[in-house]
Amino acid sequence: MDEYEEFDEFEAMYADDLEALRDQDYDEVPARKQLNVAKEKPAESQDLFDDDDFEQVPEVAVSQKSQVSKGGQSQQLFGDEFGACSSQQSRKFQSQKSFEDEFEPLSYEVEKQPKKRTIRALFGDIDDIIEDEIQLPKPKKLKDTGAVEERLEEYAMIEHIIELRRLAKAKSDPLAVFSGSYDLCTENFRDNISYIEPKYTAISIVNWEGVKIYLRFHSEQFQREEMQRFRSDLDSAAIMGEGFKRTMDEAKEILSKECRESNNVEEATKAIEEDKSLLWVDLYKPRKYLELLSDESTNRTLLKWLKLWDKIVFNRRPKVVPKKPQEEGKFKNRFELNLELDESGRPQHKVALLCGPPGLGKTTLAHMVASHAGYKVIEINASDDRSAESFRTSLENATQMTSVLDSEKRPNCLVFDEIDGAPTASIDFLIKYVNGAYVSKSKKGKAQKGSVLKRPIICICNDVYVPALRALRQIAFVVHFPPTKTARLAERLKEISNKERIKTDLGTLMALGEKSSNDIRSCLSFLHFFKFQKNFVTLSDVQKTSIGQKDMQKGLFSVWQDIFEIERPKAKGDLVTLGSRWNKVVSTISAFGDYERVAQGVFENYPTMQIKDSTLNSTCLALEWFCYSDIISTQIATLQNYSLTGYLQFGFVMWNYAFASFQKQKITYPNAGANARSGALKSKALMTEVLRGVRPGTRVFLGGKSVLLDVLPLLSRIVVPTLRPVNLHVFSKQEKDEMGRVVSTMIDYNLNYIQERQQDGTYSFNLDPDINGLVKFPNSRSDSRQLTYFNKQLIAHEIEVEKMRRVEAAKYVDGNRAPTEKTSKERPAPPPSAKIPKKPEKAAPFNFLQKRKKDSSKTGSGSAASSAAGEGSSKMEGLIWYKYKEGHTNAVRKRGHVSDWV
Amino acid sequence: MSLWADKHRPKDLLKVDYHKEQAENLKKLTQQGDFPHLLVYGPVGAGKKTRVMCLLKELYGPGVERLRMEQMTFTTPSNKKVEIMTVNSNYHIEVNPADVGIYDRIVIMDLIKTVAQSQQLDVNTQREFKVIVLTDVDELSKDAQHALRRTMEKYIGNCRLILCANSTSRVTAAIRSRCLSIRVPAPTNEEIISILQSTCKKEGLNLPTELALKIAEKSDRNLRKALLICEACKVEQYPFNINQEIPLPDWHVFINDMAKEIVKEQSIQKIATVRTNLYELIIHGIPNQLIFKTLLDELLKNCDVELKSKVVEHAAFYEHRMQHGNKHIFHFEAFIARFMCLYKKFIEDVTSGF
Repeated sequence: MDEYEEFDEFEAMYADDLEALRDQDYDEVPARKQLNVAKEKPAESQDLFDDDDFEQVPEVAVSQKSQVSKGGQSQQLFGDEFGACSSQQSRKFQSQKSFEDEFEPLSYEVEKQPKKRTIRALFGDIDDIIEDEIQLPKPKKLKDTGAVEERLEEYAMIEHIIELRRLAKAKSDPLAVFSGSYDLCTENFRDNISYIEPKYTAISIVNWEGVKIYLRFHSEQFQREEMQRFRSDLDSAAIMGEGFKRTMDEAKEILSKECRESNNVEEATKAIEEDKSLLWVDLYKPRKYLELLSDESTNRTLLKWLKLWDKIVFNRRPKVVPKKPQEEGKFKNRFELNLELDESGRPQHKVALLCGPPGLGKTTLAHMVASHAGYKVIEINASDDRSAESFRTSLENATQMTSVLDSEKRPNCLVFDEIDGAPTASIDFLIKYVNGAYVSKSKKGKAQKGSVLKRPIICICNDVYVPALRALRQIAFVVHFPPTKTARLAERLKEISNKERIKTDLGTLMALGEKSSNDIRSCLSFLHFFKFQKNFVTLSDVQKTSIGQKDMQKGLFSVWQDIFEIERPKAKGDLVTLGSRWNKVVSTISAFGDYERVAQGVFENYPTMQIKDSTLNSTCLALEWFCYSDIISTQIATLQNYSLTGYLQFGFVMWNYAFASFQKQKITYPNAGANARSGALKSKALMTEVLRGVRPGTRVFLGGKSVLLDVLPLLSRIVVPTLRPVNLHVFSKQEKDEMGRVVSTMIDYNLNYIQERQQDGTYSFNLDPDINGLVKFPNSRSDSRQLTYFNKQLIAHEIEVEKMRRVEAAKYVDGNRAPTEKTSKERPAPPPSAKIPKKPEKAAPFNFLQKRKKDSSKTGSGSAASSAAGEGSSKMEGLIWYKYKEGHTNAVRKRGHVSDWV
Repeated sequence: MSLWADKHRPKDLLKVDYHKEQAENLKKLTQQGDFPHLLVYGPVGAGKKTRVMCLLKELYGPGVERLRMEQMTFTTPSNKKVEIMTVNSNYHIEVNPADVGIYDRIVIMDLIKTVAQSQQLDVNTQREFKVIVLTDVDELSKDAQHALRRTMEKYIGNCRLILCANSTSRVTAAIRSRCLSIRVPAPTNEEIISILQSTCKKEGLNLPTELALKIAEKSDRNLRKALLICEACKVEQYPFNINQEIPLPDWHVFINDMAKEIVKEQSIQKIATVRTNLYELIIHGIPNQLIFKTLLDELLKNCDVELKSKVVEHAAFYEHRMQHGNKHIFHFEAFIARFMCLYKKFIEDVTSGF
């Protein structure tokens, strides 16, 4: 049953019908078991019933038929038990009917009696004449015993019942007329055939079982009357009566249901034979999931994805097969379906993206799967208006509303067909919408919270590498459509051509499939076309005609494959000549068109191919052609001289000659060129940033590229002096000079070290702007000398101090001797230590500091303040204060004498 | 002002270290109070900008040294906003139109017009014209150069142009004929050595002549580069050692390494690794011609005379074609493959000869 687990949607839809069917089924099963116990005979019917577990649709018909056959074949053998079971059955049928209560008990009574009666006694041997009579509420009795008198009594009773029933029917059933006439008819039969020798004139015949039967002779007049009566009864229904009517009704119901459900191909064919305008593609479209031609695993994957939505759409737990634990260690495939749901109960991928070459049945699959899973499909394709605005409207309509008029009220499933042609704005909108980032505006102008997508969306495209789809590709569940198997396609084509009475054979159809690269659509069009020309298709027809060989667009990778691989000749006699390779490559390339991208792919892939070219001569030649095509395409781009385009394709032939081999080659998507371009842009932006910061006085002299080529590479070394990782005031004079030089250089070029948190939680000081990224190369040898963390910190600090000092110096000059106190107030949050060294230089209010200046003023050190000057500061009446700076200390433990400070 | 190259830059025409005669001529030029458009050209690091600034100082006084940077915005006909940095003083404006790529024409037209249309406020105390300094004129597109030539004449009353270029070959004849051309040749090695040594003396350092010569040779007669290398040398190791390593820019080292790789092995696999290196150079924004030239220089070291001429011929051919193309990597790789091919054949011939 698990193979059909997907059917439960279908079951949901037709629950009522199925239930009714099942009831019958269950009622019947015990009966059948009884039969089984009684004898081993009805194996075939049992088989039928096993099947019926699945195919509930034809069940009723089958069960009845099987019963009929039993009635026909084994009446003699069955004995009482069959009577019992058939009575049970008939009771069931009756209970379904709308008998009026008053009649019911009576009919029951009657039905229990027939055990003692024989059907032959009632009707004669009529099994072969009217088999369907089994439907009648008259049970059959098999035993051919009992006295005639006894039977006659019972006749009266039966006639009474029949009469009553007829009356009842007449009230409720228009077909009652037939049953009336039927009764008459049977009565006549009763008189006409007999096992025992009758009183009337009769002829004796022997039936197939060797039992003697007597048939009554009628007068010619009677015969005429009879015929007349039959004719007046209009149709055969009269013979079979109400049982037939019910059977007919049920059959009709079943048929119409089948029509609705699966649209049986024959049925459709009949309907459409009148309507010749329909294309075969539509005519022979798969109507059932099982009829899909596409790769089963693909179908299954998509269906599984769609079923994941059950949680949010139908509020039902999707059947998820728990993953085996050992799989977790495995590398997670990108194309593997993630079965987990997110917090809102939706699958991880909100969008499925079906991609593959045309004619494989992507659209069909999407429609089929969606309706299979119980959705109403809303399709938006290239023929619809797909501007961002209308796209938005349709998207919102489809996902947030349900159709009121639709009787079934099924949820929507959006199918975006041919999305690779949609404008980028629309696709961007789709992505935003899917991610829930889109904020819709209500009429009041208030921004509402972005609504959550609650309906599945399936996108279909031919080329998944269209730039517009790049972002969508990241978030979507990408299903690559593998080509249909030629054999499977040919089989289906054969089936269709049989139906259309086209004479052909499987080999021809295989060739056709191959020629059209398994494009179902073009194959069908081809057959359709030939149907109108002549009624047969031969292999030569397929090979000769150009039909089916349309201007196909292959995928990028298959184009590259055509360039890098020489196709092995199919027949043994065929040779792969340069000419044939030429033709193949030119036709592929000119059909594809995007020369630049293909050329880039060839360029980036050829070194990984196994090429035997020790002299490098052919490689040189091939590279010449790269240069040539580059120049041509530049000319085309700059001068819009598109007449040159025709020359571009021949380079590919040369590359095929130089690089192709019989081996299967692994081709990767070319990224290096694009990466280099974006990298170059990035470094250019960084360069502008650096130049912006350079002091104007220096900037004037830095023209063009010389900054990048000469200044920065050397500058990055010059600002890395050899310094001991000790505190500033322990530096020697030389080191202090060095430090001063580095600081002023870095200020000139607006460089600084900034603290950055590394991934491992530690901190490091990095240059900002990062000129190292600009001038350093991978195998650089200048990395040997590195400043320690401490020195970088020191330099960063010094730069800040020096900058402040310069600003204040400028103010001092400009602002008519503005007092230092004032400036310190103006600057909002200067590092407090920055002000200390200034005091001795500018204001020098305290004696003891002047003394100190003798040994330490030259350092201009701000950082000295934190520990050493701190002692002095306590005496300084609150002019100096401490501020605890997290993670920053210049403290160095060092022995010192008080006399040094005072 | 603490890189030596910046710190010890001469600020007066009389104090320049070389081309003294030319400096005097320039001084005379300014003394008349007026001068024509100038086209100052010469190789990188020869001192063009230094002379231009000295000239301006001569003209307007020390006020020229009070510089500020400004960002100007222009709107292209297609309504695209283009931003460009300018360095201004009260008397002149300096801009590099090549910064904005294909929009340089807009910059030239708008900028010159706005500057030229506003007259100086006080004609008595100041010159009656402003100066526009355009750098990298040889990088300008043809359109921009054509736009320049009419404006040059039209607004000559209010502004003078000083054009800086590395070479006049890419400056159209029309512009060259409208300017007084001043060539600033690169300093000779001797001049560089003397400047290096005097600079070191000012810094209180002692530079051995041999090291100075080495630096001068490595610097390609580029004075700025020479000074920077010298300073980097000093940072790496002081006191100087004659045999100490001369630091070169990373990209230069990188190309040299690449050349060595090419000479070491000739195969398609090697081409692939070289390609990644080339991409690296392109990402870092190293100009294509420079890559080509440096690479060729390095490769030629491994060739004999006959092979040399062949390689140079091919290099010229591919470099020329590169200018017509757009994807430079194709042309680099074609050249490298060609070199490999030639070199391999050459080696095989040599080895089979014995």
